Amino acid sequence: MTGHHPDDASRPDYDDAELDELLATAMDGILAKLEAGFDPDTGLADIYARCAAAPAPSIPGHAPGPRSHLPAAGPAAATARAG
Amino acid sequence: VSEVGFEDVYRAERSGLVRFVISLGASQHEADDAVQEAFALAYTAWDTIREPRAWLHAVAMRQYYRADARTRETPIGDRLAGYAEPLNSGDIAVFNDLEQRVRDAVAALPARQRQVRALTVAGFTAAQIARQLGCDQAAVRQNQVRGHDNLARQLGIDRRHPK
Repeated sequence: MTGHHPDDASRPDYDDAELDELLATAMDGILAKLEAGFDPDTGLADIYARCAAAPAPSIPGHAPGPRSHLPAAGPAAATARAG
Repeated sequence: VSEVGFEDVYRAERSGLVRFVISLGASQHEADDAVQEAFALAYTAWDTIREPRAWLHAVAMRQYYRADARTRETPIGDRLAGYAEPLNSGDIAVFNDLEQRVRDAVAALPARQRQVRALTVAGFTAAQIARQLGCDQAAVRQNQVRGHDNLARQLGIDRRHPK
């Protein structure tokens, strides 16, 4: 993934592909265990319940990029949902 | 709000987002909650979101860090009173040796390396990651390499065919 130069003595020696495979295998296993039995319909119902319980966040209208029109989810909104 | 489009994105992206937040160092409950919060916020603004995938990753990351900061600032007694039942409330997962070693190795990375790695694995380019994190692409690439090196070192991966 990161492409090491064989002559670069400052870097540790390892096989990128082996590391990537090991990490992917482990994360796949972790996610499979965490997501076992998860029901998307229950997840969607939870989202709609959170929306019903919280005030609508303020959204800037005509922002040019994805970062600039992120909703203003301040501590007040989070507190309202937590309660 | 177009619930059809929203629900399609939820079904397609939720698992990847949970994986992403866990890669930032979150527990299962923290990841579930951050992702659900991100989707709840997305739902209220759905018609204005131009790049749902990038938007959801940015907001899920922010929600996780905010919740993490609140947890650190809250006295233990108050935490118990506000404890919410985990969405995926089954037995706590038991990880095998490799899975636990990878979790520990990822958790031990400096925060910036963890963020860059999580976004890289989620499929974002260096330019997109730089935009998300508010840094330049050179810093992204440097953190990619250092994060990879750190993980290899911690997991004991040796180069087998370097030439």
